[in-house]
Amino acid sequence: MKRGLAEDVARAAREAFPEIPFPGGKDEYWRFSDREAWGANAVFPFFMAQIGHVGSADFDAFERRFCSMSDSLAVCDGVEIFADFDSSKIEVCALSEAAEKYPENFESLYSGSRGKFDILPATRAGCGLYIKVKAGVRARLNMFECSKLPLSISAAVFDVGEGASLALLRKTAVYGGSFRATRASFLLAEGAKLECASFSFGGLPARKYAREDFRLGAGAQVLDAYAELGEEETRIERNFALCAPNASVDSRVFSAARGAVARDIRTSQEHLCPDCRSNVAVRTALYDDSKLAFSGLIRVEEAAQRTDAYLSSRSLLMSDAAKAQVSPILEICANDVSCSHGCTVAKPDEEQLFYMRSRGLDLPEAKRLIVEGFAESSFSHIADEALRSSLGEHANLF
Amino acid sequence: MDLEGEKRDLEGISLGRNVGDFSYAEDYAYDAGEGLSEEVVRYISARKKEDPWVLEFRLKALKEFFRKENPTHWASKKLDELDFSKIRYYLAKGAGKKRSWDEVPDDVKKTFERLGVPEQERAFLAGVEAQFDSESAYSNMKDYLAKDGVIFVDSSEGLKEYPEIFRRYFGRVVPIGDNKYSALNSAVFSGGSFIYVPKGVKVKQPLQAYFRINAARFGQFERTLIIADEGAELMYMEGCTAPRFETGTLHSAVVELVALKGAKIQYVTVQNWSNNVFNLVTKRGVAEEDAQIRWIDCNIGSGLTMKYPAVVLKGARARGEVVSIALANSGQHQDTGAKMIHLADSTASNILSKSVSIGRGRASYRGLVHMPKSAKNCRNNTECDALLINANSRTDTYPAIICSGSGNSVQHEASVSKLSQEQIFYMRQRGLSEKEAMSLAVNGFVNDLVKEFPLEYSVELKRLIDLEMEGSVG
Repeated sequence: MKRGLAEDVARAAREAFPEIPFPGGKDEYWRFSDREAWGANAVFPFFMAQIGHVGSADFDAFERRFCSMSDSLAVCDGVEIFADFDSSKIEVCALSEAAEKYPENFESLYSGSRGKFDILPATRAGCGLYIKVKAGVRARLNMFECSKLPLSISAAVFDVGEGASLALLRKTAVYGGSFRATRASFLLAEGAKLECASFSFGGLPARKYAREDFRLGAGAQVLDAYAELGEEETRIERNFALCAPNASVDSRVFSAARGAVARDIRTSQEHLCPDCRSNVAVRTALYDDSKLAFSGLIRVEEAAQRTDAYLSSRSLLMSDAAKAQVSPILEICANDVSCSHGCTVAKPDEEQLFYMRSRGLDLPEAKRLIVEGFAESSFSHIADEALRSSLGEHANLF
Repeated sequence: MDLEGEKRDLEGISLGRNVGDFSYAEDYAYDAGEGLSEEVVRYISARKKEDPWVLEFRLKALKEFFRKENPTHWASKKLDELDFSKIRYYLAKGAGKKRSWDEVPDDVKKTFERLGVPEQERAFLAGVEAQFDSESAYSNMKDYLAKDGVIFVDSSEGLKEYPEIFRRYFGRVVPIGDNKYSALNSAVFSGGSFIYVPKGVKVKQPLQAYFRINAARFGQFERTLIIADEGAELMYMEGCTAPRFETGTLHSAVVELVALKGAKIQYVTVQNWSNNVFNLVTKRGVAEEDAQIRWIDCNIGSGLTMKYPAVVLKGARARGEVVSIALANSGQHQDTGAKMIHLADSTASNILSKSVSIGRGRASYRGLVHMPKSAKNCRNNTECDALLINANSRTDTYPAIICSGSGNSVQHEASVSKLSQEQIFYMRQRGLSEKEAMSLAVNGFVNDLVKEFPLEYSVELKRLIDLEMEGSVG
């Protein structure tokens, strides 16, 4: 098989990778992280070496279930292990193949790889899947992704054709001992619609880096909910580029952190064209001595008049030792816009707790309800019933 | 004598953008020359006949200044346009400081008369200090304050005459190495006010300082230290102007406030530098138990302003507040903000910021709110509103919030809007011209914050906003 482009990208990234240092404790003190400790250097470039994985009964159950569902696709360390979907609507091929078929989209997936983390997935360019939803169809896909290797690298492109719509349910399980580094790009053509509910789980001690770039064409729409419910350390980047008029994004992240993990969340809403709307909301519940570092950016270019953009961040400190550092940023270069951000960091509201306790709930139950409300509000905007109710399965985790 | 600029309306205080645009010929008896070196620092220190510890402080700061990089990795690249080797760090006529306007040299006196300083002093101020380039030219205070033990002098006199009071706090609130520009100020500072208000004394009328740059390619580095002893209260106001020279001018001040138990300090700034001034200022206050510090800040002038007034809330129940208005017209970048560091229980802070960007102007808010878990029941509220007048105006908001521990809460809100077409339409229907309607709308936008300024200033601020709006229509 010819693997020209993919190999070129991978070779260049492999050469660049050792030259760039991981951000150390000092560089990223603001984010509480010492990424050297993630140990990627030790296993690079021999991803397959080292020990096996620390499993979890839950993860195995997910895997079994997804491998027996319809409209489903299961991927392990970037390799397809199970597929059962309507191929008249969805076309799936390996990324290495897609490099030849859709070279532009392939390149855009890895373009802009500068930092250590960005470049890591590019070192195995071609590993992963290209998922194309044909123009004009309504498709559904349930996707299970797991990481078992010590350094698990993969990528995915979701290419939603003109006027098509995709309802996507994703569950990601990172087994303990694994470091998962992924990039994904969501390309929405004119009038395309994506509804997506994602759940991320990890064992101890798992690490996860995920960068997801969304590019929206004219009139395209994204309704997205992302929940982090596991015990893994994470660093996620979610970038929304509104590249043509009338595109709209409503993306919400819910993250519950327990133990001593640090969650690092970065979002950006880039408005390049007029008449677009975006809303990003990040809600977190921080237990024990967990920490959150969140930075969000709304950038409105001069051409993007009549933009409507909102960014909100609400953090609940569930313990005395929990800590949140947030920085929601606005950069506005056009005047006919309505942009705002709001952010709060506080413990659960006393009045709400009092109200619930006066109705007979005990304190832990009342607190649990508040967090559950947080999580539910992160999924309430999803129209697709099956996706919206997918949160219910995990209610035991709050 | 070379006089430029427009005639001033002598009726009241005038803050018009052109009012400071005049200069007198330079005839300085003491000039440290261009560029920065150890000799310059020694020259300034010798000229001021300072104690050895002050010189040592200056030299240490100079080393720190050379060691530190310009913070262009986060701040404006415009900082790199500053050429430290082309700036003159000390200029003085050598006439000394006077207690009566009659003794002040003629051209200096005329400068301040044109700016209306003596009139304001008669009308509503408790004391005035006027600084011309590096040195204070005039300083006076109403007699009744001296009887109460209030000290209001310039920094050189403060260090020399009252070391037992000022040395204890000098450089403690803003340490030498806080940032590159605080190090620069610590090395070459000259002028500025030293104020001490004794226990329980409440200064009813404001004290004022007026800073004037007269010479081109000059750097003004005033150093202000204000100490309000237990239960004391005061309001301090500062105004700044400079003529419009061809070349850039640097103003880099350090202001330290200390509010002891139960004290209240209000610090009002109206910054109206000409558009080629780099205004890089470090302002910080420490509030002890039950004390209150308010920064009321208005930035209209300068090419680049970087100023983030801070309050360290060190004692229980201390309060900090920043009220900030910024107007950025074409060619200006107002990078302003606030920092609130909560170190004690039940401390509260409030930040209100409004900015207006006109033409290609850029207004940025940069803020920090810090609550460690050692502090309990702290509250912060931050509101930033930005108004954009033209299609290519720009505004940014860069807040950083660090909060831990239960019982602490932070709220931050920011919004960006443009002038409402409906409002303008309504006002035009009532017979206002488009310009009048826009001015009125902008004044309405900042009105609630303008009210925080002393009355004499708030009237003028409104007029100044009208002037800034000129030429922005269409």
